Amino acid sequence: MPQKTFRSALNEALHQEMAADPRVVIFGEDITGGKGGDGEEDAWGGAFGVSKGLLHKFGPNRVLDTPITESAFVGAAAGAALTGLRPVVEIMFVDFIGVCLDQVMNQAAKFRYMFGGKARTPMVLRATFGGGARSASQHSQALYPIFTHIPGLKVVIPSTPADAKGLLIQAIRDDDPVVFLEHKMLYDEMGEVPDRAYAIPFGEARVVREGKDATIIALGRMVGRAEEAARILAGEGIQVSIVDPRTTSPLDTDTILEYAEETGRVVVVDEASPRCGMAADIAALIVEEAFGALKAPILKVTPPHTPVPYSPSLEEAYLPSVARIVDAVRRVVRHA
Amino acid sequence: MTDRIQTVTMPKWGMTMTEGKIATWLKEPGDRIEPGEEFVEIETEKITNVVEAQVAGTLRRVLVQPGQSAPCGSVIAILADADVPEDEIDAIAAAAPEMVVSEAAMQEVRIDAGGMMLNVVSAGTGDAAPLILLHGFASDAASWMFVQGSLAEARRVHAIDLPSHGASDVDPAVASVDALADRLATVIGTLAPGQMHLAGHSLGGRLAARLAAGLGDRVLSLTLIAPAGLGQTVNQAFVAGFLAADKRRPMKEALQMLVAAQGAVTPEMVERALASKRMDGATEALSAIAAASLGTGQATGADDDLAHVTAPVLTIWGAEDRVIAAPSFGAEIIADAGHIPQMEAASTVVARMTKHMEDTE
Repeated sequence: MPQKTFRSALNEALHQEMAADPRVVIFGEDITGGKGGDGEEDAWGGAFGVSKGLLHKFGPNRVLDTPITESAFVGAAAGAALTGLRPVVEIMFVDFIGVCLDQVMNQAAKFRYMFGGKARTPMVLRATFGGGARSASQHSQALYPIFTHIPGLKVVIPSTPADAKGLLIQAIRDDDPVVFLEHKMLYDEMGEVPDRAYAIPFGEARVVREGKDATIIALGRMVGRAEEAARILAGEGIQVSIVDPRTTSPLDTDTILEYAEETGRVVVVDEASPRCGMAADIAALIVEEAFGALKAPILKVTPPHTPVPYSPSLEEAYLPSVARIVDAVRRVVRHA
Repeated sequence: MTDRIQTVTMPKWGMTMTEGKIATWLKEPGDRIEPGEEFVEIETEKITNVVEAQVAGTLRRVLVQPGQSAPCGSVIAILADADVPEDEIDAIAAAAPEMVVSEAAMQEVRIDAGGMMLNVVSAGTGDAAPLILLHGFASDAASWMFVQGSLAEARRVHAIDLPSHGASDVDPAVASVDALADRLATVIGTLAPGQMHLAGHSLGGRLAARLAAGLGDRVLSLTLIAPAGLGQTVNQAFVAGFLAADKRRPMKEALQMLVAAQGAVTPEMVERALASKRMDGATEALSAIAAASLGTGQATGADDDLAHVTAPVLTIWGAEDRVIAAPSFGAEIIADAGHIPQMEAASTVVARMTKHMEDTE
């Protein structure tokens, strides 16, 4: 099977869905690159290269550069979705959601409910998230708990190239607003990705590996770190299961509980801030539904409750590290 | 190197495996090993498998220690008779890092089957007649991963992804035994214009019988592994369970029917099976194939084809097969293997197929 980057897997999904369905349109800041300026059109394929080639293939009526006005173009996407298009809009950094949260939270997320189920809002809001790129506090956050908190939104956090493609295709075909979050440090990750189009359903976790001693639940870039931790732990004779929920809304509670119950020792790794984050949410779920199976307290591995630092050494210290995951698993395994 | 001394190389299980890690040596230097005996456990990123010996000998030297990795095709151990002097073993061990092993390479190409592209995974470089492998329903060329490298020591071995399977094109109109065999015949014509060996598993066995009947003396030997169409009905619980499974747990239950060993179904296998069904149009196409080629009404038919086959036929079946039950006579039965003996008893299958092919050459 061909090897592709996370970036090209996303690009392929956009190409295939735009070719398959003329209602799919995309817009956002700089996605055609240099439009209206002196530079070469589509030189970069957007700030992160995900929309490369779409402008020339599908033309300026379906691939639109927008001004720096998230409040306007995210609102336009919600309206376009209501009238029958399937817009995919890009917010360059999810941190910019602050200026257009009303369009997402009070409009797109509410239409189906407030119009008695008669309205569909098939829009996708793509955005980068996460630390590690030395982008400082306003360009590095992992804000998925905010979206997960809002009923009416679906929230997707792919961790591999193959999942990125299949989940983005599902997001575009879905009739509800989907927030699709791409960790900016994963774009160059390689993996096997089938050439053909395929959709991975939401609400179904991926079981990354199986082990009997402890269970790690991890999202996005943290899945790779959990895998590295698992390899180190295997050298010590500790076998861990890793569950990647893939979507936080809907959340595959069945698989999380199944693997929590199987080992009774759980570590949740989350790059989002610790207060009201996914780690707290998943830990609460397990305590409520599987308390009897637990053999140790659930440990959370998260950043501290501070803004993401800019200083490279501080940023590395801030992010959940492989060493901290290894340490947390050792502690839950040793707990009598 | 004399034939009293044999090197054991790191196997290559599929296209993407480039190296393997020794998990455990199950034998120690000085131990006598018989063919079929388990002697080393190897791990990859995706799978852990116990390797069985292909030849007899005494384990004289272990070159890769537990926890260490080695590239596919590199020498990991030396087997020799107990009376081979130590300095001869030393000489081979010293040369081992330089040994080039060509069968470790695999290629993947797509070949036109009359407007439909079929994916083919190929290994081996030898001059003997090539071997064509046809996998079963709901599977893909990777189901041969534990045997393809070993079978390719003297010949090219081509594992074809059936229509609507693996990385081949999807078309629900190509569903009957006739239609499937027709597309495969085109690809086989490209891969092996002259003489060949043919082997098929399950639905692929049914198709191999049909193809062999039409290819006449171009087919030197035919191997059928748990084939459909020889009178045994295909367990519809497996077919229906696989087609209905849209989540991890029901898919795992369906796949469990394929294997004898509980716990042999890994999360990776479950994810792969779900992924294969999620290709656009794949589930519809697989349903069409199941209805047209694997229903209770298609339990027979291979006999008619085999009546026209002139090549010698080897039929292999796992004793614990719960998808197509082993017949009471006419097949070689492999103990402790389910519906996919080429996964669960790889070295036995390699040994039997190699002998079957060589007997005709």
